[in-house]
Amino acid sequence: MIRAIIIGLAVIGIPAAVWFASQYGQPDTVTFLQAIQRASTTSEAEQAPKVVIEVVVTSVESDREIQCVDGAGTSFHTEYSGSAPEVPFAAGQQHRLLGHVHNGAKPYFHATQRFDR
Amino acid sequence: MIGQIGIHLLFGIALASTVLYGTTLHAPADDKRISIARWLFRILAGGLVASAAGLIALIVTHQFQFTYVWNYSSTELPLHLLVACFYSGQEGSFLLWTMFVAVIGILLQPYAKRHGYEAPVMLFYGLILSFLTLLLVAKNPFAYYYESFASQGITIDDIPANGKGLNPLLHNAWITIHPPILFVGFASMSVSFAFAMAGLVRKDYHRWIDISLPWTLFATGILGFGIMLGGFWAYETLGWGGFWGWDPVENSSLIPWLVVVALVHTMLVQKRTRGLVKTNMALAVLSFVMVLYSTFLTRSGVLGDTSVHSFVDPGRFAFWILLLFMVTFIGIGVSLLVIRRSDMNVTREEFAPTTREFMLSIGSALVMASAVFVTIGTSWPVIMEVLGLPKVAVAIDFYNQVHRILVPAILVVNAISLVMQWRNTTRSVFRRRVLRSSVAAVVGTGVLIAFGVRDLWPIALGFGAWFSFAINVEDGLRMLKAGPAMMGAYVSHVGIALLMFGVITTSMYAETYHAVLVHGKPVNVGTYTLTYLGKEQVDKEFRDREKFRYYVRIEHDGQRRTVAPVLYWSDFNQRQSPFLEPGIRWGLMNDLYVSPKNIGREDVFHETTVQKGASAQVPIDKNVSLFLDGFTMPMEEGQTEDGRMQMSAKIVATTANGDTVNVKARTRITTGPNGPAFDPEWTTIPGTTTAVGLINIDRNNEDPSKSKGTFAFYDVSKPRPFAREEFTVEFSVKPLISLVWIGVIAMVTGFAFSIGRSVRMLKKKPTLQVVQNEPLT
Repeated sequence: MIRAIIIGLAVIGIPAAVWFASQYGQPDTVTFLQAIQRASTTSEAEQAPKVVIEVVVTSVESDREIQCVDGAGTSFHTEYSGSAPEVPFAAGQQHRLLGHVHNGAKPYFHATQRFDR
Repeated sequence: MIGQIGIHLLFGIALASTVLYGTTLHAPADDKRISIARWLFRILAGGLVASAAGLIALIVTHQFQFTYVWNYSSTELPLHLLVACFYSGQEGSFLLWTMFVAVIGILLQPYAKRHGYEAPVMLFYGLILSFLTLLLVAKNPFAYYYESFASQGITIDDIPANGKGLNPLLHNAWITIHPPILFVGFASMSVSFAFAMAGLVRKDYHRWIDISLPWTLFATGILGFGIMLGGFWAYETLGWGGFWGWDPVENSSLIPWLVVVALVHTMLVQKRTRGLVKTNMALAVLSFVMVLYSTFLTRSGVLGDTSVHSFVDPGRFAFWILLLFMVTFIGIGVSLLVIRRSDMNVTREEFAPTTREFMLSIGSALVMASAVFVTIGTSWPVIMEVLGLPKVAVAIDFYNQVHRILVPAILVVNAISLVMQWRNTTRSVFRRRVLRSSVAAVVGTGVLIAFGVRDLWPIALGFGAWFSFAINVEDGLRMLKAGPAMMGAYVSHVGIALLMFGVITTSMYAETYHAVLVHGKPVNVGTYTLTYLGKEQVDKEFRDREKFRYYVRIEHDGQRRTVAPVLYWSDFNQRQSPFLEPGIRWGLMNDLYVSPKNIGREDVFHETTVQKGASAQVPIDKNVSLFLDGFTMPMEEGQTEDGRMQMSAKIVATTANGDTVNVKARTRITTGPNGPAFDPEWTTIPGTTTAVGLINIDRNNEDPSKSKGTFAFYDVSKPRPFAREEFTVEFSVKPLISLVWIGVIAMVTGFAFSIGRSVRMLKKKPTLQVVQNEPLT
């Protein structure tokens, strides 16, 4: 009986655990201004929550610094510190960028991963 | 050079000892090869201790020609922190772990020999050490500075004058004991794995339980203690107010601990019933594999940017060794389990639900469920990356939600397992004992509700904790008559119940206030009065920081206490974020916890920001407006006598009667690590009583015509306002958090009792002959 209970628990429990984790492990897709709003609830010492912003690259300052515009039309500066992209950033590209905002006098987005849209 | 050669040599010795032990699996105990393998192991252990001592000596004597010493230490550090530098980086912590495995091996060797298990146990144990020493070859702590930076043109003559220093977060006494204890726990987890593998090789599926139980209890107790010391360090040092944050680094120690907790309980079941043979073998493998998996997660760099901790990329070679290390031991464990699978079925038996063995099995399954959830949560970024999805950690609430169900269930099952008897429990005994404890739990939970607990989770946790507490105290007191050695499990369980009470009270009753404390001015927060008394610079010998202790007086019910939180910026993190240390007034009934947030000055000057080419009203005189015409360049203004740069804002002021006057508001600029600081020269606007000062220039590099200036004003007919220092804090009252620490101490004490008991029981058994060796196939 104990064997059946534990195997049953494992068969149901492990996929359930994965599903449950997926509910808490998906970053929200937001606009830059929404990301700033969320960051304003965190203290100076903690990092702002991770979010995804869908962007169009408007200009490239260097291979790690770009200017983007989001779906709401807000233009903002982005610093990218993820792994070197296979295709370098170029104006007109559409990406989903994962990262967090740095709030302050000149807010900017710090992206750590890039996904093509 | 000696150090580097030595590490390579130690890897060779580890391999040689392991191979020799492997060739003597079926040899008699007096075989010459066993004696050589034994000596090789002793040389290996001696070499590792000497390496560790050597590295400490290099750090203490500031030998910055070694990359590791340069990277993690500096001349300013006191002796105890210099010693802590030894294990502050990957290379040193691998050496510490390896050394503890070897030292424990020195104790294990004669123990295993006495029980006729030396060759198989030391074969697997030696294999673990071989991988660990191979890791040291990849992450050699004795690499030279000029070797590490040869590509940057550094030569053998370039020896840094000072090191980069120890992470300021680690400048704490607790950091000198927390990692060593944790690594003793990790190292001792190898022992039960080696015994289980030896049991499988020998087809001896029961005796290894008796022999390895004291070691397994030791590993569980010491690792649990190490984990909670980490929690205590976080509470006492990091200033975020908690002791557990479900961070991957914390989870990486918790996962193997949960597995080994389950293993201890299932080993007890096998001891009494000879059941759960395969389960114990599997859990022994899993507990060690989870140590390796957790190490892989936190040391391979795969978690990258998903934690508050920084994960250093260990390099490709070390990454593959870590992966190979883990895969090899999963392979060995699973292969042996599969090979012996049918053989282990011989003593299979069913447990009736009315037995202790049944409830202990369910309890272990629940603990394992916790381990599974924590593993999935911690691995989530890796799973996401494999699936090509955004790599993020799960929210902390994932762990909290899961454990709101699991922890009360574990507490209740634990308590019921103690009520049950081995093999069978009569209904009357069960009813009588459960009824008594249930009444106590209901009353206790009623008290919690009376004190304001309303949510389901703390009520369920409270009931579970009271139920477990009542049964364990009752049984523990009964067992006291038979001597303290019998009380181990009860003391540990009472400790866990107390810990849970501490979790409930701190999570439900803690009061937290945000307060801005102006120097010398008492501020009421709740029923407390806080006064910021002033600051004192400390650790002046460290040049990377200006560290201040901020004294805050707390008054309550006529009593006065002073705490001293710390807040500072350091070059260590390029002053990107402050380092915070809370001020704590420790107490049995509650802790008063002052967490620093910010330091600044009172906003006594009225300010306004104006863009170039735009106008704004003067805040203290609505009849006067300013037009910002532009800024002068620094070369126009020249430098101050003390060498500071100067700039001015060109303002056109319009007074109440419509007159316009040109005003130059000059400011002196000091550039520092936190950006420019502006020191205004106050200028009175002619025809008014308003003085204006330029306190910030926000230059727009893309379009200089959109640059902005920020101006401050005061009325010159009144005394110039004095801006006092403002200290922003988060003040918390944490009731009964002492129960968390008392609970952990009780838990570890219980383990100590249990270890003593299991060793004594083992001694009482007649010496067993070496089991007949049988081939693997």
